[in-house]
Amino acid sequence: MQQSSREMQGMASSLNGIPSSAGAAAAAAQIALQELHNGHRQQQIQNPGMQVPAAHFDHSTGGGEAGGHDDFFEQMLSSLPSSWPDLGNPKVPWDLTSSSNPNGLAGKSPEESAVAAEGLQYAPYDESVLLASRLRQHQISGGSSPAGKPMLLQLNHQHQQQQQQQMLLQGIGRSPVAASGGDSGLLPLPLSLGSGGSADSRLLVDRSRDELDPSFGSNPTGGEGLYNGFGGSLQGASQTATQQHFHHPQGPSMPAQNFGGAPSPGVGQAAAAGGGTAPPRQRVRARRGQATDPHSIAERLRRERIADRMKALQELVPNAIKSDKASMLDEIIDYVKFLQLQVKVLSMSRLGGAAAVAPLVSDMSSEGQSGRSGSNGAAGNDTLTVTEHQVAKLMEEDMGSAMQYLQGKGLCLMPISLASAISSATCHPRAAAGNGGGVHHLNPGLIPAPPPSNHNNPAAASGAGGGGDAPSSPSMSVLTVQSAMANGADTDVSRTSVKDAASVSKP
Amino acid sequence: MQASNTFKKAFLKRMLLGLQLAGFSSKSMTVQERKSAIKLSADVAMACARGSANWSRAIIADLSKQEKNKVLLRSILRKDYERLTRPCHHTWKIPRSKKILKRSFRVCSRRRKGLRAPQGLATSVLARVLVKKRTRVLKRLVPGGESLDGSYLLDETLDYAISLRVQVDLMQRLSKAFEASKVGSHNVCTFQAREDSYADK
Repeated sequence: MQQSSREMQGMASSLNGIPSSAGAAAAAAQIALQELHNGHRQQQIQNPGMQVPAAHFDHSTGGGEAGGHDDFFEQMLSSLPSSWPDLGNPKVPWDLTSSSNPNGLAGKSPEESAVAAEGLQYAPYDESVLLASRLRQHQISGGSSPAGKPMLLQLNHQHQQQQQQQMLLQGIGRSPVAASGGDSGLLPLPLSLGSGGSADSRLLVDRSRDELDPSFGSNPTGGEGLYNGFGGSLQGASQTATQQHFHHPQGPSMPAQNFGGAPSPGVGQAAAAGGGTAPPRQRVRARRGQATDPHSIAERLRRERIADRMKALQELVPNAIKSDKASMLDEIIDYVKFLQLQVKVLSMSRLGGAAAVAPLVSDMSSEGQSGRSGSNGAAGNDTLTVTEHQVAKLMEEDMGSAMQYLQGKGLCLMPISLASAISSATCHPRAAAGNGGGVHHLNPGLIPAPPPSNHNNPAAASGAGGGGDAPSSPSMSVLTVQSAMANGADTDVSRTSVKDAASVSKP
Repeated sequence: MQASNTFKKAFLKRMLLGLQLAGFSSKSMTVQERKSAIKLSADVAMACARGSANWSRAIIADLSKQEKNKVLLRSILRKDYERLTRPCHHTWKIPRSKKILKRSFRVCSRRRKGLRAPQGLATSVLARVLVKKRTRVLKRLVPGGESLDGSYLLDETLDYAISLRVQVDLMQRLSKAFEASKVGSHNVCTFQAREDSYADK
């Protein structure tokens, strides 16, 4: 926080130092900065746990963002160890192998090395191979639940030196996932690694995360599950040191197969099978009812990845309770369109401006034309611009006709403050009503006269049409809102209310 | 949400810089010009603050296609201009050998032909068609999304949506701040004076 406050101060002072006589602008900027700062502080207080997910933005700014990097590291490192107590003191056995690790650390990207250096000296891949073989033998001999410490101590003496950067990554990817209890805070970890590191590492960590996430609820203890998984996954592969390439494609696929069911039957199966096939086999042992060829595996991985992204987007988009891919995509599209619209509105009414209605209306109409003929990069919301265009034309002539036109479409005009109040009060879910027929509001907003009495933030709200109180200021505040998919109930409400009230006063 | 403070700060800094450089004058600019200038500076600030992402590069590339924007872009971005307009080949996509791809396509299509016979349900086909249609729309929405697919597209959408949200939030705050400073002086004259002072940099 100190750092952020200092940076804000620095920025404000630098802005002041710009040789411009815009004292007011600087003052406004300072106010804005302070507001932002306060806002940030509040946000930080509210969700401290979300500091870690901010990693990928920090990474991508690059440049002189050393402070950002440090923040990211501190947050990563501070959040990870706190969630490890259930691993049963894993640090002690791993430290024994610290001498073997420096080579592995050298080739890694910064954050992984930082994580590893911090105290998680993960052994190279073969370490876990031997561990797994030990576990299996232990289980076959009918031992109790494997205690991590004594077995690891035994293993450490026998390990060979195999430097597998990818496997290390996988190991790192797995252990934090196991440790943190499967919370969604790890979701940004692959994002951050992907933006900073190579595509390969990102893919790997993604895969490991993908595999562990769905089955995580079934694991009794994180550490045990992890060991079980490794034990099951490395059945045919513990013998030689020449199976590095084999491990790599095998590793993700086999844990995926094993983690589907409960850990113990999977391990039992694997143990029995592993005991049977002593010579190194290149074949993947399949789960019941699953194909083993790489195509289906790749497809499954791809599907899981997409499902993860959809889950993340679901959290982002407000009021999204869809589980279906198609309707979820619909919600996402609506939300992105809505945000882009808001930006357009805000840029129109920013910096105030003593704009009368007519110039703005003509601007809107001309913008609609140029927008359509010029750039095709904009969203294809043709119906929106056409309606806009129409209303703009009508408004120039006569307000009454404009209102009638809107009512004919089932829309209404409402003051901005009311719209924002409604939208904040009722965050209603927008159920997919099949066809898109329904409440269709125009896009926003207008500019108040210099002494505005109502709020000027053209927050485009997706609220139902409502209210009939006209703004007391002589200017007209027109807020229209776009919602492409309307709830059935909302449609009825808005239609009836449109018939009742005319909510716009003439300028 | 999930946006970092660094991003917001860089965004705000660039935006204010862009606004100052856009050269606002209350008389000579129509509302539309002002609106496009504000939007331009906001978009550029967002793209620049985000750094290297597919959509941010696409935004900057689209904007710099028009000659009149180039000067403004250069002055806003300065040293980042070169970095962000460099043609970058897709670093997100994993390089795949064409032979392997062809083989896998053949196998997959063969299997799919075999599988489709027992299904015969219309709902799954309908769902797939809907999803395809909607991904097409999404590709058009997200800048630079035409060349992405599948999970990469969803990744970009997530990133883009987060940045858009930050942009909206920031612009709302800025407008509120400007309002507050406006209301403080109840005089229209001083307001215009402020606009003029804003104009002559």
